[in-house]
Amino acid sequence: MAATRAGPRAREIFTSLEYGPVPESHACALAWLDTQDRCLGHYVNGKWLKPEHRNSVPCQDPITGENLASCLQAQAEDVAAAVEAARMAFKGWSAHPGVVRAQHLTRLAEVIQKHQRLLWTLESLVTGRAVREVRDGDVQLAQQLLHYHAIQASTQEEALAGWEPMGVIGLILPPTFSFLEMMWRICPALAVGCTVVALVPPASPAPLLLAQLAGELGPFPGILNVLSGPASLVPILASQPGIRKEGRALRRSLAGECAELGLALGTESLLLLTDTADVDSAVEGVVDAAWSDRGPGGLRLLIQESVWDEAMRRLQERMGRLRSGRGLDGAVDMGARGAAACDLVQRFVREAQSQGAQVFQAGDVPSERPFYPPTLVSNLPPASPCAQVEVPWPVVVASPFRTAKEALLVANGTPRGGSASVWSERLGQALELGYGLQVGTVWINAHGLRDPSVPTGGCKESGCSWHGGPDGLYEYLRPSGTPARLSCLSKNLNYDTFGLAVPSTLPAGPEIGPSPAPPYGLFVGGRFQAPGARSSRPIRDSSGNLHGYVAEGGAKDIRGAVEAAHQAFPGWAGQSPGARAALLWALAAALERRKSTLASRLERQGAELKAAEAEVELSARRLRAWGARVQAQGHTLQVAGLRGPVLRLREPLGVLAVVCPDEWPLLAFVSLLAPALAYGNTVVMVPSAACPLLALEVCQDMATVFPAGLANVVTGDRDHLTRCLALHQDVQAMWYFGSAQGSQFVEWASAGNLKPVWASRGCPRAWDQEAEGAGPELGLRVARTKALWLPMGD
Amino acid sequence: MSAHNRGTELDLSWISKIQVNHPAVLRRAEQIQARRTVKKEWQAAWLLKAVTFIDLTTLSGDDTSSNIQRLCYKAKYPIREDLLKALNMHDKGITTAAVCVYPARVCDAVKALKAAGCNIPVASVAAGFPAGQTHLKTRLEEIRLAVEDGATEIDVVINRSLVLTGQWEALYDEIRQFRKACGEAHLKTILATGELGTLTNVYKASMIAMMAGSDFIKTSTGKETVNATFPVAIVMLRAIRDFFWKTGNKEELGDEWLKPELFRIGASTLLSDIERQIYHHVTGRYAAYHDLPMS
Repeated sequence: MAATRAGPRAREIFTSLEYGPVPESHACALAWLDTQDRCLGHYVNGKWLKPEHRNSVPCQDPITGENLASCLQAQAEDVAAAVEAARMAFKGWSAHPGVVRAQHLTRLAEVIQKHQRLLWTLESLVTGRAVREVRDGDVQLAQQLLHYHAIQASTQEEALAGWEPMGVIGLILPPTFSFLEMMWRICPALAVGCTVVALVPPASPAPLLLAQLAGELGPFPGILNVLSGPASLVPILASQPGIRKEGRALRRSLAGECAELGLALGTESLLLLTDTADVDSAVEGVVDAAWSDRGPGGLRLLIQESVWDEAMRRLQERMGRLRSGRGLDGAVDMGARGAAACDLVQRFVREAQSQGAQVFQAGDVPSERPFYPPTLVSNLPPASPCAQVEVPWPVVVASPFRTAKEALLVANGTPRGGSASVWSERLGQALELGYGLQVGTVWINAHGLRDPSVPTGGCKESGCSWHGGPDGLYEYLRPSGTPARLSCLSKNLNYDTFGLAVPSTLPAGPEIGPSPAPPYGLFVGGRFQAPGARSSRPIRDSSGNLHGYVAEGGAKDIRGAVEAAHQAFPGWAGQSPGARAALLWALAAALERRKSTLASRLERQGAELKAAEAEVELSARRLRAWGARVQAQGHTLQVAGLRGPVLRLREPLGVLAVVCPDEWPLLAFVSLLAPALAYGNTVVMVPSAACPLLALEVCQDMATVFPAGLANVVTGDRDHLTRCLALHQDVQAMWYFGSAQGSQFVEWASAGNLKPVWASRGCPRAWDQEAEGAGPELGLRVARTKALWLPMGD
Repeated sequence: MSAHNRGTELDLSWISKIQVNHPAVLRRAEQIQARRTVKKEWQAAWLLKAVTFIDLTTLSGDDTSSNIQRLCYKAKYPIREDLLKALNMHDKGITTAAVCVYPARVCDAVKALKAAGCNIPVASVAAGFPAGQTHLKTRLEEIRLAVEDGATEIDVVINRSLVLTGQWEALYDEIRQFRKACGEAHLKTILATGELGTLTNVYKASMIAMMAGSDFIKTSTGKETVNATFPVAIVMLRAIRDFFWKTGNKEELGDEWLKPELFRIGASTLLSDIERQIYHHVTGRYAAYHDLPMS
């Protein structure tokens, strides 16, 4: 028999049956850091960039505090160098056919596969997350993302005809996001032909390693550039022609800049546990969501009152069996996230306790910092400040609900709208809740599943950008031929006074012109109402004669219009697409009956009779076209590894505010109204300032055809109404077609509730052209996507 | 041996509302296998522990007294003595939990174990094993005869048709009668989970079997097309935990459940795999086929 090498402890373990350490060797991660002499720079244009005279930040093991390496902090000139490299690379990368990009992405996936051990040990070492989750989850998903987007790239020419890549993408990753979050965004960007400059928080080497792996692949070194640097660089990166990601402050500081902005914020998730659920499995869902190092944040847990006791008992019992420890240990559920995360959760729990909440903690957790035990907070008074803020990792805040209706009210009553799961064995109830939740992703009887082909995003203040699936691709595309966006930043625009006061208008003489007289009033709640200000503004025709008076709307009228739109919204959104189409078609028929009046009004604005008639006809066609198009919405996705479908739903945004352009007073108005209504939104519209009379004519028909409140039209001073709408917290999205200054204001003001904004920045659109007046871009912007996961099996 | 489970009155409200979500349990099963692992001494100790849970089993048509004898000897000495010595475990009295045979072989097993000088219990399958499709009268008689022959544990199979048609009262009554026929012997109820259709049925059958007084519930006979799987084990363990919560017992399915009186693994080839692993742990080499004694 061979020599014995058994340890002494087996005897004790036989009795105690305890778990032992299962350390994952991180020697290769350290060896990689050694190749950089323990000093990490930036990876730009296929080379390491280590400029001199830069501050450096230590990269530490979050658990031991041991210094692993020092990371150089980028400065403005490094950002400029990276953007320049990406811009140069963009020319070649985007010019190649999709198949070439597909091959390159596939090769990158293969490289990651070959060096995955290095990637997962490095990530787990510096973030403290459980290595199992990084190894079995993130790294595998990163490869799937590359493969999925390689396929998308290879079919780009046919599938995405009419779209072109945006250019250089600036990607800003907040510290709580892992390298996987970067992959979710760079994969679609690279696939469609964009190049990327990613600004990662200090001391996060995994993205740098990825950039190195990509850069060493050869022919396209500059497509992925990674800089590590402080948040103060964000505006500098953003001021380069680029895009993307961070928070409210960024939304404000970027207003009026040339950049398109996509936001993805928020980490909290939600779990609804009903009384028909498999409670034990739902408890596992809670573990998946909050205590398994999968999601970055905490969890809000809503439990139906009738199963509250049972669910809490099972939850607490399960918590006792959770293990926490060093992330590189293969048998722990949770690692640690460093001192900052630990401080955050300590503060939250202390505050919750002081506000009267009960706190339960359990699990096999090392007692020293920065470990923090799984925490269950209950009995938190709904009005307490803690109940409003985002729940931090690793906390679960549980609260009861009585009925499904109440559950929806409570769940939708937060400004966040990321993801949620519904646990119910009753199909009808589960679907009711799944459709009713205002979030980006809903899992039925599961939590935290992800797949490259399923769009993931959020709504409300969780941001409005998407990654994954077809929706993720459009984030990095623009309709072909869109003029390059120039910066329209006006430094001296005063946000406090823009549109604050309405210049007073005086009577300009009696109305003359064709009878019948144009309708007077604001069209709110289905009828014409006198404006709150009780004053009017004159509208002149193309030869400068008085055409008529329209009501002078103000803040109160906007408030009333938004209220009316909100009241009409649930009924309208609940209609089938067919029913909505029928009403749009009815409006189209009414427009055609009113053709001569409309045409003569257009004539007075200086249009040729022929052209005026054509505009009316085209408007009617637009209404019909959108009615037909909306019927083919949403589809089913099939996902690897999941039995059952994922539904990709297109849901209305809510109350949409539209400020119409001055030109094309009828066609632009109808072209914007039609898709908005077709997809189930209700609207508050500010018609063409030059000639609002045409919109008011249409309102006469809407009054008879539509339910009250569906479309509300407020005339008046354009800037003032824009201000009121943009600052309104309960307007879910805003489209602005007008001046550059107005656009800048709208973008700035929208940071209040982070409503998605589409602003023209002073660029005119060809509303009579199919692409710009009724193109797929409108269809994308007019609704939001929701992914509904329906695992099956019995 | 621990005391018997006395069972409870039939209370259908314990099973009426239960729902088991199949895909969710499948995901949980995958996770368990990925999230907990033991290495080195821990692995060795856990493996030895597993040995003490094994019902070392032979259920073949060609069983004779000679291979029963060999099996019994292996049950007494499951791991090579020198390996146990190396682990300092030779004085722990490590044997398998029981020896499990067909009723006709119970006498052979009892004799062989007596000759080996140990008191490992003999378990006998009974009650129309493996299909349970015989008359209740013969099934009960089979149990009585096995007990007479000296079996101290009886592995009965349930009547699957009662589960599939939802006749829970009838199932309860049958197992109650098995319980009575066993007398002092332990009643181990095999649910044959591969033939119950759904995990919800697995949970309900587990609960009924425990209410009727089963001392153990087992997954499967080894003769169905689908036998012991991780998901059904999860559901059964949850049912056991719920049963103990409901009957006022404060125990949870934690470490305190890991003793041979409460936890068993029915297996015939598992033991040699374990011995192989222990060999590797002790020596650092992989064992040749002939290095380990056969059972």
